[in-house]
Amino acid sequence: MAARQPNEPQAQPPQDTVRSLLAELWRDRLQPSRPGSGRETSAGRVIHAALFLTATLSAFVTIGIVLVLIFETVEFFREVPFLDFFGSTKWSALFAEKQFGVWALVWGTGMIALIGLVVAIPLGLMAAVFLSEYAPPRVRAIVKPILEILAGVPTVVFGYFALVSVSPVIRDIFGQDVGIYNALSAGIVVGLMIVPIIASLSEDAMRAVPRSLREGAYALGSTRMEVSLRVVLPAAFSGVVASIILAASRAVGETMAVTIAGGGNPQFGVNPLEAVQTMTAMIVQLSLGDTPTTSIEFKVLFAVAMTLFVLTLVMNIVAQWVSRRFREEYE
Amino acid sequence: MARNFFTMMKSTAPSATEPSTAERTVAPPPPSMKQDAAAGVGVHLDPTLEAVRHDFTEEVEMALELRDVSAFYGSFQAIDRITLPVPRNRVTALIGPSGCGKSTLLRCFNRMNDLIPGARITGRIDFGGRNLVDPNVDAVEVRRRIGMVFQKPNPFPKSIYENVAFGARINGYSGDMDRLVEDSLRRAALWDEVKDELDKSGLALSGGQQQRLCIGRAIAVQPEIILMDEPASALDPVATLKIEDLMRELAEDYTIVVVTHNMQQAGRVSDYTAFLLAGEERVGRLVEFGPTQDIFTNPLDQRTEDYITGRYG
Amino acid sequence: MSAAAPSAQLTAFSPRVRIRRSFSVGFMVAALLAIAISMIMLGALVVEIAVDGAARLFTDGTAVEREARGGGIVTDLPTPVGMAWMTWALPVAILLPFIGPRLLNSLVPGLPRLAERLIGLIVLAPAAVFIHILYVRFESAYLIDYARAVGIDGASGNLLQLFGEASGFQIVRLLVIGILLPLGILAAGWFWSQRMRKPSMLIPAIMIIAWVVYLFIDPWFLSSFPSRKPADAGIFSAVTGTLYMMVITAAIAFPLGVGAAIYLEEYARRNWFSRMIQINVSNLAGVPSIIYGLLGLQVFVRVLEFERSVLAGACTMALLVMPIIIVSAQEALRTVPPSMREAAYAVGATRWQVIRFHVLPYAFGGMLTGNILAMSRAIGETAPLIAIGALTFIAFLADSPTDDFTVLPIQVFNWVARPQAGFHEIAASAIIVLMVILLLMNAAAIIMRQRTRTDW
Repeated sequence: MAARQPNEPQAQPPQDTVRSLLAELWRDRLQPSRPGSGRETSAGRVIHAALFLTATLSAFVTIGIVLVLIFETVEFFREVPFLDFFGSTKWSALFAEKQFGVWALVWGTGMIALIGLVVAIPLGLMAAVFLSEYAPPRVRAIVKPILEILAGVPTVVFGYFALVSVSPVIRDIFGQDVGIYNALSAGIVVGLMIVPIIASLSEDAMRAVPRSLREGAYALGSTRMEVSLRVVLPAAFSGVVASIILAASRAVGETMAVTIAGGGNPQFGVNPLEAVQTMTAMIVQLSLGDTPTTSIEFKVLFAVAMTLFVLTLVMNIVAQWVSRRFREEYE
Repeated sequence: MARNFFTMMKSTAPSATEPSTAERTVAPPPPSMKQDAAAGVGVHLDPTLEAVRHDFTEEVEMALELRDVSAFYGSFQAIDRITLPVPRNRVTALIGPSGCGKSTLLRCFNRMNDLIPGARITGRIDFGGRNLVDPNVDAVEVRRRIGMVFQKPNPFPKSIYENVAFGARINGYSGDMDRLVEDSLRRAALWDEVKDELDKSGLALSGGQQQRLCIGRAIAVQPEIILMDEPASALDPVATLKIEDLMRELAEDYTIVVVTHNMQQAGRVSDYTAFLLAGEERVGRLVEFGPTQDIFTNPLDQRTEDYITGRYG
Repeated sequence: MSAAAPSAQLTAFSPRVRIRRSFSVGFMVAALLAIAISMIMLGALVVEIAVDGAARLFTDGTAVEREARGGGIVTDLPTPVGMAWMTWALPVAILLPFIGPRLLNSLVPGLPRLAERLIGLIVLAPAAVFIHILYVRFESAYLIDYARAVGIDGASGNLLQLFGEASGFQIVRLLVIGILLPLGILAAGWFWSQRMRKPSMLIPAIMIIAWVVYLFIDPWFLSSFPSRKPADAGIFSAVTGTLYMMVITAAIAFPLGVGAAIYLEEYARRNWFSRMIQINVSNLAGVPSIIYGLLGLQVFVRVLEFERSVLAGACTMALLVMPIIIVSAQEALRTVPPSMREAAYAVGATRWQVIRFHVLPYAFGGMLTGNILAMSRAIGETAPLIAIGALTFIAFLADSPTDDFTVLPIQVFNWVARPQAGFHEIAASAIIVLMVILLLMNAAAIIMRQRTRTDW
């Protein structure tokens, strides 16, 4: 860049380039130049380029993820027919008789996410309504940061909680035949984990509903519940739905708690008291063992990860689309 | 229902210029109240009663009667001991400079101030023989019977039909909903413009249409009184004119109380006018109340005249 | 539809106000209950872990048993550097941070702020070293007593030997207390000189509390390596691994994330490219963390051949938290009023000068807050590190970034996954340590957020 300056020779050894660059840096400070003209000094251009590179890095991360996943997934499908993967519900990657029916894992993931949502949606939405419509400002000022801190509790901690506290309670209720590892306890703690997400994001959306709408409803003789449920909630609908989808996506991508508490049993049953295995738990299970990188077990890891990636990506995109598409514009 | 306040006043106070007789109709305020502060504004007499001394020839029933109504936000007093009648089936305008407590007073009528933390009201507002500021009176029921239209149009983000039907639904209306919506929109002079697109969002209408939709929404719950808080201030002159015509029409069946900044508007639409003014310490007090014509042509109070002639701005 | 007969119209409305009212109250109770249930469940989590973990973290019943085996007790002790200076070093060390900057300002009035701080730091640094040495002295006295009490004789050697030969127990104590204590006093002095009385009081208070708590903690747990027996196991390698990895992660992710944010906010035109980057960043934030682990496994572990090292883990973690840092840094940049930029341009500054001297100083606090929050996310992440193959049984300390390592959450996972209840207990103890670190980071972020403006 420095070479473009007219007073400097065209070809330079590298050290001189560096030196002239440093000189430019100094000159930059001494002679601030032409902001209006839109041109930058060469040091400014270097900085501009460096910052540009850091920004493009995030694009490379995405490309990297996609490439890494596709590469091994393609390898996998060279060995295993597509239909064996997507057309079966039997999974036994670690046995001699290998079967790769990914639906068993998707099912386990879905079941735990569903249990989580069943727990989290009522709790989270009610908590959001309470914080936004009922709670005095002082209560909200205390509860909201607590919720945000809870959203940052490591997921292994929730796994511990599921195993040591929730599972025994479930066994007390449903009898000791129930295994210590089961989908229900994993689902419940996943639900607890996403309550803060739903509560916090939904509350933001509800608070964004203009005050005048609430007043309009009150002036027609609405009770506070009617205002909350029939005016505020529908008006904040897009934000609420987006928060739920984001929470669901988090539940689907959740790894540690379901690995610890879900049990490693890929299956396609409807009983939530049995052990299941999610896609993420399967990835952890295969990662823990010393899997050779040429083996089919290693490759299927990426095929499953690809499924997971696409699933969560679609959910995130839908969440963004919903929150843009159905947002009411109040001036 | 409401006593005939003015008739009574006429009999007890044959001379409008005799304030002492009017004083008898209401118990004097307890000595603990701020007599000195009041004297600063009312100068020689109890300001709240001083105000109501026009000679009424019209026999009119009262929809609301206020007695010594004060409103507070926390420790701040917004209005001080306002005593005021609101005649039935008439348009009553509340006028006064900004910050004089007009809107606060209006929001006392349907207990909207309950929604603001720290707000409280003292005094009496008689509505059908009951004191509606009594905490035992259900604010929800009060608001059903006393509707409100706001400064900025605030339709719900629902269809036009649902906007109108909402109030009736939550209040358990069991009649023909389609007819109610049509009637309400007709009364709000909006039906002809929107009858073909009732499914359109209320937010898609123009500002003036939105405000008429809000009026229609208020009418649909069959209120006895409609409060309007500067309903035309956010609208252009043409839309404003439509809203004013609408007010005149609605006054045949409803009691309307309208807060307005616009003197001409008050003159055009209202039958009665109350003039409020805040003193040094920003506490709003009633200066004068009477038939609009009298207030505008022959105000009894110097401050009213100053305001009417534009000396307050 | 005429109000002439209002009563006829009104009959159409059912007088259910009281019922609706009680519904509304019921609804409020339900909402309150929802909050309460969430809080109770999460409270149960905290209590459960505190009760389970405290047993191992605070009692030293197992310590007696260990001592009987002669394990882990210090044998080599540093000699005091000399006692005489200590009598005057203590007051100087404590007072200097508080009066240093003031003194300096009165001696050389009108110093530029940066120079003032730099010189202040140079003056303060020896103070911190004094305190550090003082602490080592205190610690060694304590250790000598301890060693004698358990019947080991040995009071020779010097300060360097202490680091060379002392057990992990000593090193942790020395590092954590011997460095944090002076740093805390340093920070307190700085805050004091900045006339921020609250933090200047708060920090010593926290230090004292931490010190008292530390005295009751079973040192063995913090200072020994994993073991097959729950009673002997500790989290030394996990804690150091976590700290090690966090430092590298922050060093990578903060500049990259902030650079991207500066580009997006200050340089990028609003075109398809910046929009794409923006959408991409928000989508990356939603990618499950384990997928980052697979990315790290292929790119850092295999292609770049970092092996299963601290560096590979830190790089993976840096990519994982970068979206968070970018978004929060962007938010911080957006809080800078445009008038400030315009004012700087108006006196002829270049774009970079505007950013460097006006925008960044203003937004720096907010960026740092975002960085701390991102780090607190990284500190609890387990899955990506498992995917890249971080080990769970590490009986040594990482010397270089290319060594194998483990971190706290992985250690927790490893212990939780074992069937024995003893391991569950020490898992809870490790969780307590993890949560305390997290809470401190969050508290730091909240304090930072309260004064997002820095003024240099």
